[in-house]
Amino acid sequence: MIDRVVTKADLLDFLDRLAAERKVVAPVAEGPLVRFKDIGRAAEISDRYLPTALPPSKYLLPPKELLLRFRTDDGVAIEPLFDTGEIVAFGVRPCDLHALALLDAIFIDDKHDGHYLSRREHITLIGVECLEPCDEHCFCASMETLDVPSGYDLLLTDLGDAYYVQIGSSLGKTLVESLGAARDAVYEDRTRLRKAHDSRHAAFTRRLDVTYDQLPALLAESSDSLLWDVLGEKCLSCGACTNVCPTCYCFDVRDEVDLDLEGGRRYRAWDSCQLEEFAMVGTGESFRQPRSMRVKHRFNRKGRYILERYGRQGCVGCGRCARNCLVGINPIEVFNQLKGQPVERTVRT
Amino acid sequence: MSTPATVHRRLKPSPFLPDLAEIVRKDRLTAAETLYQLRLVDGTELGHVPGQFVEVGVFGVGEAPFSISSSPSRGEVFELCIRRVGDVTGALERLGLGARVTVRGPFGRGFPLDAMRGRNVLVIAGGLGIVPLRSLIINLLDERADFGDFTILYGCKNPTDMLFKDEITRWAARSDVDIRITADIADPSWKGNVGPVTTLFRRLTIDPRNTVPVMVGPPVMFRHVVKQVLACGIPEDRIVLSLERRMKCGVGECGHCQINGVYVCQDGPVFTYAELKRLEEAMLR
Repeated sequence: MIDRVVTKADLLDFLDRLAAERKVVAPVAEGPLVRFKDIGRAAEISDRYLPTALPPSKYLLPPKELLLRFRTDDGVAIEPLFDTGEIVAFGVRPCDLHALALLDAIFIDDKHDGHYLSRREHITLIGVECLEPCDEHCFCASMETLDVPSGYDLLLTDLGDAYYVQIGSSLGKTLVESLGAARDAVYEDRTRLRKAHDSRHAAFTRRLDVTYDQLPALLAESSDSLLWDVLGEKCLSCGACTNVCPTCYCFDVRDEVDLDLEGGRRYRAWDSCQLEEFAMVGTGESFRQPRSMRVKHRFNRKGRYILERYGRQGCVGCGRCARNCLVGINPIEVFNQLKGQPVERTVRT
Repeated sequence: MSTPATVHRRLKPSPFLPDLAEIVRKDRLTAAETLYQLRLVDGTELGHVPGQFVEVGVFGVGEAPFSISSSPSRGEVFELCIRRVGDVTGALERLGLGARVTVRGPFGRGFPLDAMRGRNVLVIAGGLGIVPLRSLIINLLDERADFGDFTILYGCKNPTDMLFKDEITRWAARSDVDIRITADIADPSWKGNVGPVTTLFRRLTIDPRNTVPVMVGPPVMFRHVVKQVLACGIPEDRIVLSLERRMKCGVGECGHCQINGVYVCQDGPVFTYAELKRLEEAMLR
């Protein structure tokens, strides 16, 4: 499909029209934060380079998602619930597009989860590339999630006065056709796109002392590192890191009943492997009781288990966990300390 | 040793959409455990393999995972032996005959029954470990001619904790199965062996070339029994274990049952020792 170019003014007009007729969500500045929210007008959108407080995956795996409705008054009736609300998500950053591609691989390709699939089929993803790193916590270049080969409907790159538009799906093609003012990209546009991409290299330095595909081996050989004990003593097990992580998807399944006690709902709600009850069985045994084990489990999921199982990065380098950690546990430091301090030389700090 | 692949009853748009089952029988086994007999309302058989589990739910309370305790060789009903410990198990106990519960599954990888055919089988049960093993034991007894020597070691904490007493008595009367039972702590009525299940190995002759040990019990039992059977010369990939974890969704999504990179609900709950040896989280506690 031929790439397009649209002026910024035309894009804003288009988003205004879109937001008037459909549910459009985009990053909106709120004090020191940027949050993904419903927008009424394009002017509300923030183009700040800062990951949103919660990742856009919250639209595909909401904090609380109804799975079934049941009634028990007249026999038993069970009805599975699938969300079919249309959403256009604008301003999804490359790290989050990578995270969504991982969730697709898990919930659609592997698990055929109809609840996720339904939401995914009804969301349009308009990505916006990053040309500057957001802050000291971002390490997408190290995780190789800065470039986005696929997983979007449209991908925009800022060319100054205009956006370069890459089309990633037939849905994206339809959308861009409704954006009347866009023109076909020509050679000069592609040169400008390449220059914009090239200009990132100096700014997006590698922050990890290993490549992302070396993390599984590093984590496997760091299993006995004393660093896990150090982190276990620091960690408060609050679960903030897993709540804001775009690749965390663990959940609990619970029921709630109607007031008449004849009906109710079964739903899934975000859960966190950092909480002690997470691995507790009915008879009361917790299989990941020490905090050090729980911290180690999280880093292994992010750097190792997911990559080994699904062939995709289980951490996309967005830095949200570090920004939200109350005691300053930071994946860049953790991975680099594991790399820099082989197990036998690790000392308690 | 190869183990049977995961069996799904049927593919559904929602992995959480359950079937309905009716409680057709309830037998109180001990102060805390009840044996439930369930039948799927749609008339189909559960279609499980010994060692698999189901998610049973009570509307408004929730779901919990339970090992299937009956053998697939025994018709359209299936049995779950459930200890009353929490919300779901408490609600189950309050339900009467004819009440309906939700069932999802069977899930997971069961015991490698086919790979065990023609071999001697040594079943080692600790405490509630007898619950999933009963499925295997009955299946083996129903197809007894397919297997070599059949030995069952069963250890419980107190003689009063012993499950399936009447059945075990009947099994013990058979000449084609060797059952040995022990209690950690004896009471005045107990005439049998006293001590952990490992003490039953003392007078046991095991042919390491042709024996498949299958064990289910608490982690502490695994550590000692694995050591015993390894010392007999049984290779690591022929030692079969089933693990307990919090299998909340049953379909490998929710993360609760994960051991290192492995999802017990899908990759297990039955593993060989060779598989588990590499997983440091498997044998902790």
